[in-house]
Amino acid sequence: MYRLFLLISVLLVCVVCLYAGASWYALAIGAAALCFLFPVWRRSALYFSFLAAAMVWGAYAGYLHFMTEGRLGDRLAVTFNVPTGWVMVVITALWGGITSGLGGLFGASLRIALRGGKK
Amino acid sequence: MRWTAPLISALLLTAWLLLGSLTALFGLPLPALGQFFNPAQGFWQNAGEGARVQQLSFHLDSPHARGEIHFDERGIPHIIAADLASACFLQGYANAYDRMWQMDISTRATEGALTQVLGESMKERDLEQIHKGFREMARRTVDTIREQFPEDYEVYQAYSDGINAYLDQLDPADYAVEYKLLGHAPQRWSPYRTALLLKGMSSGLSGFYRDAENTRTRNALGPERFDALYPERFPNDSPVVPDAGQQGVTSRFSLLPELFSAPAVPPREADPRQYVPFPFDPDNGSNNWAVAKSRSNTGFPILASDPHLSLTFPSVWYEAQITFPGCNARGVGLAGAPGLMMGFNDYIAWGETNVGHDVTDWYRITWTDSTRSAYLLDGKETATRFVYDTLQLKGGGEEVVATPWTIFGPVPYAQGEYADMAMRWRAQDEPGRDVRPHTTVLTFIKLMQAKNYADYVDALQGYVDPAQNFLFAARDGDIAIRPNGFFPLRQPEEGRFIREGDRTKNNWQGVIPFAERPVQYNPARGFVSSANQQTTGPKYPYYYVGGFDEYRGRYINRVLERQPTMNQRRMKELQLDAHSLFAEEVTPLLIARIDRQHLDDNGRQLLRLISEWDYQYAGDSRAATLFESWSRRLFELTFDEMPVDSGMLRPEQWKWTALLRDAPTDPIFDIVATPGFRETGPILTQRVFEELQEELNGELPVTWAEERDARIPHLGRIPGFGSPLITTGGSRTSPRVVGNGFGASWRMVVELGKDPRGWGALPGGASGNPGSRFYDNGFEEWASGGYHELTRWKMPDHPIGSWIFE
Repeated sequence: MYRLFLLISVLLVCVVCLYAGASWYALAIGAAALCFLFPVWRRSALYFSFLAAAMVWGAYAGYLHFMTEGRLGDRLAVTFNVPTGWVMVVITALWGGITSGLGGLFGASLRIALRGGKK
Repeated sequence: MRWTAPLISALLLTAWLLLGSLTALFGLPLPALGQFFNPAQGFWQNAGEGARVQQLSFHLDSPHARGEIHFDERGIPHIIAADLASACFLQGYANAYDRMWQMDISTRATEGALTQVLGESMKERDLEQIHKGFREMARRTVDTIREQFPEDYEVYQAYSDGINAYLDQLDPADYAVEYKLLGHAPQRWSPYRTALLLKGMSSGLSGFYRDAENTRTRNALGPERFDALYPERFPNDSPVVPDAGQQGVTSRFSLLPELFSAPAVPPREADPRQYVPFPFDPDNGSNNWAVAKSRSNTGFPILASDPHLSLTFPSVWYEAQITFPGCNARGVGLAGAPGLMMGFNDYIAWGETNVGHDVTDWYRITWTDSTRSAYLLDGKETATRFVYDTLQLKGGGEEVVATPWTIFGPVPYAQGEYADMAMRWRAQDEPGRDVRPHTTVLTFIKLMQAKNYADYVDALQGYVDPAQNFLFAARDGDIAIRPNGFFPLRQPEEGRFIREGDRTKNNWQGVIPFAERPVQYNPARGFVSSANQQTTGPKYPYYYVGGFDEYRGRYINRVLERQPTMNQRRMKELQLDAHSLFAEEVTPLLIARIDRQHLDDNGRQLLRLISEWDYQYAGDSRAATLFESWSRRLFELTFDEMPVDSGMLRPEQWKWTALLRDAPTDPIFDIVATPGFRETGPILTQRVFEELQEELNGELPVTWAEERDARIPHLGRIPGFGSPLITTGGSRTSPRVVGNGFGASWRMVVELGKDPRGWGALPGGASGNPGSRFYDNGFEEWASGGYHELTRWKMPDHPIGSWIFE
């Protein structure tokens, strides 16, 4: 249950960050804080933080890419030497996911260490 | 052990954050990837149309922020303002919204300030720009305008205020994607930056010179041979202002006592790296013409104008309608300067082509010591004036750069073939109120408001550089063309070779007065035209020197002479005509030299291909490719005495054609590397044909579009931001000029009348944002030869977005 709450919470934080135009590392701070609060194991913190951010960044980038008929994404795909603009969407999702996931991992690790190895 | 996991995760997180924050990771040209991929601030924010498609109201703290901008379905702004200053403010605002990065990087390039944003690799280029005096020239310009033309300065200032008003509202998330890729930020605008932009334009159009090449070639060949191979005038030219059309010009040479050319100074050894610092592109050129009402199907004049420049995305031109009391104009202007450079209003239409006069001269300076603190002038020591500028380095730090200035101009180089020479260039000058009524920018503002020929003449009196063939047509029936600019007053051959800089009298002695400049007004032939050819007929009394095209102009004049009546459709067809007069004149000479008796099937196939060619550089033409390869190689072989890296000048194409036709046994055809054998024109022609036949090995040449491989690159050469292959016709010798990154940067046809109508084609779009559909929405139309109507809204007509400034 905590894992579901964590997923929803990180999702909300990612959406707020997006809406507020926050810097990219805000994801890591948000995920770290939430995973410090929610009693989940490190692996769950990593996975769910990753998943939430990747979903939000990926969905938003995918929406923009689709709605603009890939005009910018496809051009940047050439710049970055990747096959299509959708790869830029995937890279965006991965970047958000890794940032949030590593933040979550750190938050959970810190909490578990402070609690002597317990959740 | 219990802290191992948090420690490792902290390290991982830190490493990741560091990875995402560093620029130029692993030495690659990469931005800070974390921010770049962040959809809230990075490149994804640039996907889409943004404010252009919105209804917005602005309350800005400026007395000029009054008016409206409405965007039509092509994304073109229609600016409606209460007065001139407000119109300039709104134009500045719209320019900044669409083209801020382009304006920023272009002026940085001219200013010599790229190192600050692009790093050390740009330092040498920046230093060259600073040493050439671009910053000093722009400062002089602004000072002169502010002090002597305060009403003109208001225009510059209002335009700058509009740009800065936009920047004041700008959030980093809204920066152009190029800023995000390169990791820099927009800088505030000022009249100084507009002056820089215009100096940059001058540099491309009037900043070329061949003084050292001419001097070296003449010294190598001897004066007689030099004069034979490099005559200054093409005898069969069709000048912009023929002798028959020239009006009221008398020589003023009597005003110039004791002015004779100084002997040519031998240049130093050629250094290919320094060779031509402003590379003169032989494709540089444009077309414009207008037909009188007697030759028009409407009973009113029709005007056509297509300037050929380097093509980039975003386009050099910014299309707009600008309306304020006394002005309702549509056309194109430069992003970074107020006004429309080409266009039409309710009464007139105007357009320009480059004049091509050489207005950059070099003078050898004799320093009195190694510190260059003084030089000899008229037998006396004269103190050098040092101008100090600051070169900002990337990541902080700066260097002070000193440039020595003489009475002639700056001395840009301490090494290379132009070392210790002063550069005298027309664009260094910003003449004051005593010699002109207004400034260059006001020329265009006045043209936007002109009603008749008198207004057009008045507008042109303030124009300095780069000299242009100003074309004019009015609904009252007048047509005219005036090659105009502050042309230096010269003696024969002056400006062609390097000159001694140790005497004052070698400096420029004045300008050709406005009333003595060439003009053609309602000529009997019923049309006026220009295509960068020789300015005047041989009887024009003032000497000038330069680089001139001798094919497009002759062809356009021939077509116009043969057409008793023109209409707007035929005008467009002529703009899109890929016929090459050069090919028409050279191909028969090549074919006639081939020994048909010994040709095999492949040879006969190639000969048939080119014999049946109509001299059209169509995109799918294979004959055009064959001709290009054949003629280019033959040209190179003919002038093997003057390889590209020798620093010697090659004769003009028309001269080569004349040699091939009239003097096929001239020693110039003899190959230096075969001393025992005497080659002739026919032998070389046959030899190149056989080489091509062997290389093609039974295949036909590729199509002209494939061979030409023309595309429009991004201004910053960012991969992916340019255009696809241009598959349609065109070449450098046909009216439809298309090259790789070069061509018609704007096509316009205007039908004058009670309610003038115009049509245009722009290779690009209004927006500089690659994520916008208005970035390249004009490309397909332009490439395929289409036009759109240049509507002028009296009231907003279903705009896709509107900005109201209150």
